[in-house]
Amino acid sequence: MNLSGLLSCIDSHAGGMPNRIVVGGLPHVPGRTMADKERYLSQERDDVRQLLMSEPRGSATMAGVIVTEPVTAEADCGLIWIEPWGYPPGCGHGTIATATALAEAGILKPRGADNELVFDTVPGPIRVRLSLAGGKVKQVSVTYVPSFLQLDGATIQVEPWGKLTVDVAWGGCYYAILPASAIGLQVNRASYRSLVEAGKRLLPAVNGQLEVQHPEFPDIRQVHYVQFSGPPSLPEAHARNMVYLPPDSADRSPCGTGTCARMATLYARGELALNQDFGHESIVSSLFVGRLVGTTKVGPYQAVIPTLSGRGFITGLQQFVLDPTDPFPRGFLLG
Amino acid sequence: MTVVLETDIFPISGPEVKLVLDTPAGLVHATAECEDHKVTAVTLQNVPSVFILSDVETEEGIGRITSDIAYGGNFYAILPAEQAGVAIRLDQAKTLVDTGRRIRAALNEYVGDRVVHPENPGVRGVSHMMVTAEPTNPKTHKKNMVLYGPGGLDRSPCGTGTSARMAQMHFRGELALNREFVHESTIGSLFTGRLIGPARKVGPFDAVGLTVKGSAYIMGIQQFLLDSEDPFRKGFRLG
Repeated sequence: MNLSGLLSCIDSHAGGMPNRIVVGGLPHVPGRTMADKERYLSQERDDVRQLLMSEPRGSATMAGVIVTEPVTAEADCGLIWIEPWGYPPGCGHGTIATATALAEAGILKPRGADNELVFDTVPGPIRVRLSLAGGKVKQVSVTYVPSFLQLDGATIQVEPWGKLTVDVAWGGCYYAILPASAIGLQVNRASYRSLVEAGKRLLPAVNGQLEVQHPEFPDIRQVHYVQFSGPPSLPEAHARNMVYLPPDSADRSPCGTGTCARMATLYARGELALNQDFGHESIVSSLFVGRLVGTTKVGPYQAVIPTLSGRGFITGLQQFVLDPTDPFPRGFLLG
Repeated sequence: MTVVLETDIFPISGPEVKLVLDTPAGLVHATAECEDHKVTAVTLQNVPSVFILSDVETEEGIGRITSDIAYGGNFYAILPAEQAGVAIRLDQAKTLVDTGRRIRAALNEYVGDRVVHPENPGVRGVSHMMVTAEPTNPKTHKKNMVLYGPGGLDRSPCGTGTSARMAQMHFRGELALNREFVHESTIGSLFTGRLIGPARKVGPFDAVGLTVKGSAYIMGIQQFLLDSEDPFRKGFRLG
């Protein structure tokens, strides 16, 4: 065996969506801010993301995070999210799963009476509270970034559906949100493939026809995902959703940042009040519970402060290696 | 073979290491070419491969399909990609899965009990479907994409598929003994096959002996864990 790279990872999931946490093999990710660190990784070490997210080590459904040193005094570590298509600014299921895994593996020690951890991320620090029982993480509650509805009922033109109305909201990533029924589909397992195919058409159309720009982060100016919404099947859920993940998959979890974006949209419409539980069900019927705990402003936008609760689980301890003669040093993706 | 030698489970005792492996399909003889404690290629002698049926015509939604059926460790329906209405490209993978499943179902209904392994009647029916095309890489001879299981697509050039393909070409007079046959996959990976001589008959069918050579790479060492409270203890499938 002859190696040209070794990356140590803890694999985990929340709500059925994988989260591969890179805990070793990248000893120094330079940068004074998390945006600098992300830029460094995307420009100098994108091979790491491609190797771990693409086949044969990953898949179109893989997601993960690179653990870095923190950039603020209060944070325990920094997190740079990675997916097969690139670097999303936020990730809710990943925050829940990462907090669980790093605490259960003893890499981070939760602090204070509330068992808190703080993660530096590109759009700011994320605070999490862990419910612990005998060293085991039973529940993670995340206070996510201020979320807001940016484009209320924007119109796009997409074949074969013609005119469609979508809401564009920020919840840590930008989402175009529309009811699955608008394109004649439902959010259920049987519609999975049809929803993914619809997402493939909708995402480029949204980005081609609508403009977004986060008021505080000049580099964030694209819609990252399409969220299809529909009625729930679980009694404890208020809505169900499936988020299309480019290039060819969908979130198995209820999507954390998507839940924040959806709650901000419902709040702006007067359909969700502060301090009310919002149970969000995924395509595989896993559940996250969101809650709006306050209001603020982001640039000109009225924003809400969301929290998100769910459980994460460790699924494996992985050492990924690269044979220097491997013909696919950056993996590949099909579809 | 690559893994057991490179991790020293069996020693790399020279530039060529031979191992015999017990498998559900019988004994497999494999030879590894080694250099500096590294396996550069493995050649395995596959089960004798058989051409079962030629020019099976079936009617499917997309039109008339003519395919050959051959055995190389699994039963393969082999047909040109354009007949299935696909090109062998990364972005057509989903299309092949969708149309391939329909063609395979129509074929199995049509051939019924004619596709049964004469020596192992438990092995029956067309389980795999291979679409073929001229290669992209000029150093190769043919390109292929294989559908297997409910909706799996082989990323490699497919070892048993390459065997079935060589048997089909041989009995059609398109591939002579002792010639290299380089087979390309959808993602451009390569296996090299070689017909080594006639083999004993498999039931009523003439068979041909062959080898398949390729390279493998260690990509990780994994410990999978199950949290006792994980709600997905048996996993799940979507799509």
